[in-house]
Amino acid sequence: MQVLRPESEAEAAALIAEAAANNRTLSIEGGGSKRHLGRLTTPSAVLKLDALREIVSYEPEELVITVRAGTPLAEVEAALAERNQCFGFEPASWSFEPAAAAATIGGTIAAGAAGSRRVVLGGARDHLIGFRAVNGAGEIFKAGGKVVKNVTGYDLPKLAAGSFGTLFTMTELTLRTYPRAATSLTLAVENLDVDSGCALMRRAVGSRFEATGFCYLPRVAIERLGLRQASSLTLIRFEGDAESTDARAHACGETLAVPFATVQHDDTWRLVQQLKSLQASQVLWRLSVPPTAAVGAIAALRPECFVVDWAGGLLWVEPGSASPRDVHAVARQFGGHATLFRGSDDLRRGDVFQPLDAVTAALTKRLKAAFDPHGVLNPGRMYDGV
Amino acid sequence: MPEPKADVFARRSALVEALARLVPEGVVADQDALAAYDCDALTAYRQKPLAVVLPTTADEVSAVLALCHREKVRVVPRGAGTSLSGGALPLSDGILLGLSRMSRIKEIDLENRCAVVEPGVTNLAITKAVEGQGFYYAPDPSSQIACSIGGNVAENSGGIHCLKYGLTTNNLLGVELALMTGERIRIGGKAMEAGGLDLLGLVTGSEGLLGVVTEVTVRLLPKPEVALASLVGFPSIETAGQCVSAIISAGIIPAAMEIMDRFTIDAVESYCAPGYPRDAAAILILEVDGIAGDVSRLLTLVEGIARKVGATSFVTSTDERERQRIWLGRKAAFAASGRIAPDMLCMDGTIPRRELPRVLSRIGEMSKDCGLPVANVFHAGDGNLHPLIMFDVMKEGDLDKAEKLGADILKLCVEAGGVLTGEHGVGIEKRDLMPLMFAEGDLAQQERVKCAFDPDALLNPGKVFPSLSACVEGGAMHVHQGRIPFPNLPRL
Repeated sequence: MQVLRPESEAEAAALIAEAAANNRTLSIEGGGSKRHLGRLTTPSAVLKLDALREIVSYEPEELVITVRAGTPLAEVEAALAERNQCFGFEPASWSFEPAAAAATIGGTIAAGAAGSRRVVLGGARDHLIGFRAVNGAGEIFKAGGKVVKNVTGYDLPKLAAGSFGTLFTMTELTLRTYPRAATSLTLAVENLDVDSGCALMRRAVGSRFEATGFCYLPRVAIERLGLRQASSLTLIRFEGDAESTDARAHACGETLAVPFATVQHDDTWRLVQQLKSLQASQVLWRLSVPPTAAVGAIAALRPECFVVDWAGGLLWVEPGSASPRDVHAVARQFGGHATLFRGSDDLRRGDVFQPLDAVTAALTKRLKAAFDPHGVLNPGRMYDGV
Repeated sequence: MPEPKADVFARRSALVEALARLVPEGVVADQDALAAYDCDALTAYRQKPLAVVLPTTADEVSAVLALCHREKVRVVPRGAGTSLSGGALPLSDGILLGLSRMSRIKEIDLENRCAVVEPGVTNLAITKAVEGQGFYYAPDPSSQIACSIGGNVAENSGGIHCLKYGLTTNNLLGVELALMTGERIRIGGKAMEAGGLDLLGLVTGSEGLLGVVTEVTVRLLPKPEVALASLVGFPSIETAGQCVSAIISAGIIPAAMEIMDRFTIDAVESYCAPGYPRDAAAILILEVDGIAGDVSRLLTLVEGIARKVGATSFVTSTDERERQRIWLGRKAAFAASGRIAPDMLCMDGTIPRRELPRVLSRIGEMSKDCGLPVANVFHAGDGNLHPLIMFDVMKEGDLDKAEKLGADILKLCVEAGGVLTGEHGVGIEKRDLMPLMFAEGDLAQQERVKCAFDPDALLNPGKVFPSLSACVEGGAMHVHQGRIPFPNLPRL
């Protein structure tokens, strides 16, 4: 497949305009680490943005960084770490080895790839405050701003996050940064069944101890990670300085009244963000559900393996024999939505994202046309006709 | 505003009858009664609507919208009418759709940390409903006792705790939205993320131009164990600003950080005597929340930073009463400044904090040049300025001078890398200043989004986007004779 690699925003705009004029379609890509995501499409060419690689400005005391879309995520995070900062949404790699290292900031935001901390500090959508982009007609535009508090005009940055490149191609992003915690302390509870584990996490997330991660791993996930022997792990993470995390973790543990251990800098969190226990899954689903629905949804899907994050709000599920139709029906029944995260080409020709009702589907198509009237950018990646 | 449609006036009585059939007991058409709806909190602009409709159910909202869509009648949605930017200013040929009667709390679900409410529920009522169980709804616009959650969604309202807890958009899980056709869609729900494009994020802050919110699911947070406020005096407003940057650079995000200048301190001292330091050129009020041990350690750290930067005094509340007293003056700043001059304009730009010294000294110069005093209060943590321009509308030329100064201040904010509005919204007020921040192509792209939702431009037209015929110099909230709209509400 032809790969177009613009070296500037203007060049990207020209390439998109040319594609629009010639009825060609483009697959938009940063580092290519998330090709498995979304519906299978057949673009005329790939528009690869990895040459747009630069930290344009970074002002730690303003809590704001501006970067070109193709800058590797790792490079941006390293720059933040140097100034004791990070992204509050805890970017997740959402990829399978060895592609993970190629992830760019643009692709991360376009996919909305937020990690465990999303449950308290918000997702990618909450941390993108402005951007520059090229729409499907090849026109450059900007939206949002470069300050953390701004309500001027429509909040298009929210729309950008999680749009999978189907509306416009971001060329430059301005993101909010967050102080990096000096330490992380994890409260670990072993051997709870999934019902008790989820109930425990819900109590913890509703408590005053400001934990920043709540995940549950069943035996099969623990075994795949080669961790200690346990039938399950319920993990609650506290971040901050040592004195604070220690006080909060112990107070929380006592309030929850369960036997617990505390683990300094527990590496399991990194493994969870990197989907380490699910790397071999040939079919993988991601469900976002109300936390109290987690147990019911898992029971309905009878998965071979699963991981619960966000205190029950997020489920990673290897679904056994359930078909896409089954999984979407379960997600709907429990008040959430499901996305096929990895699957065969055949599965990816069907519904990957949760099917929309007729009115929302029509509105989504009109929005697509408002940005990409000729259907040049990632057509069909989310929905047919979008 | 868009040219009124003559044919709609001609059909007025038939329309009123049709609306009354859809919403029995919920239509206001009497000219005297309509006067109560002729403006929101931006009282400089007034216009009676064609009629007011006050539905009590989502189905009635849909029916009204469907009728207006069919009849090509414009609709202006309104919550509690506390917008500072004229977001709910009526149109002479349009229906004002008031959501205040839809004020039921439908469900409180603490296990999923959320509440499902109708749009007319007030912001504070949500917190009141759950605080007994140790929860609260975080965004706290100063009008929270009166403003409605539906209006908060439309305006993406802020408050003093935004730096740590975000704006409305960061605290929503879902809405039910009625489109101009009357069709209703559910976006999100109790799950943390909605499927599909992030329509929830797009609709939040869209100022009533894309749809009418008929139900809101908000995220609730556990109430912090302790919240303490500190009152810090500084020899200059610049050192107060430096202190804020130093605190953030140290990796500390307090729940709130507010700065007031000498002018405002004097005004509030004569107004309600909160006991602010008389010798300080500026004060910083900061609030820290969390578990008790963390709060006291953070305050020790923060005091060390403040002293190093040059703070002349540092007093921390020891109980809730003292915390409230420290906040009293800040919350009264607006009303107190309103007493100093017959009229006042309140601006709402945001700038990068590093630009604070330059922007403030430039505002001082501009104030001197045009002879109108300016008081400065602002949400310092996120650089959201609220300069208050004092003038006297009875004095020849004063209003023009004040409006020009207001526009110049917002130009200055944009030039400094900031934005026109941090939390009040564009509305009618700052509409004509939008080109300062956005190029023609940027605005055209946003207007195409509007078209995707409302191709006939029936929903709140004339707001946010500059129209070619408009020539009003905007950018200000007008206060006459100290009579600020909703005088009993604190304005932050």
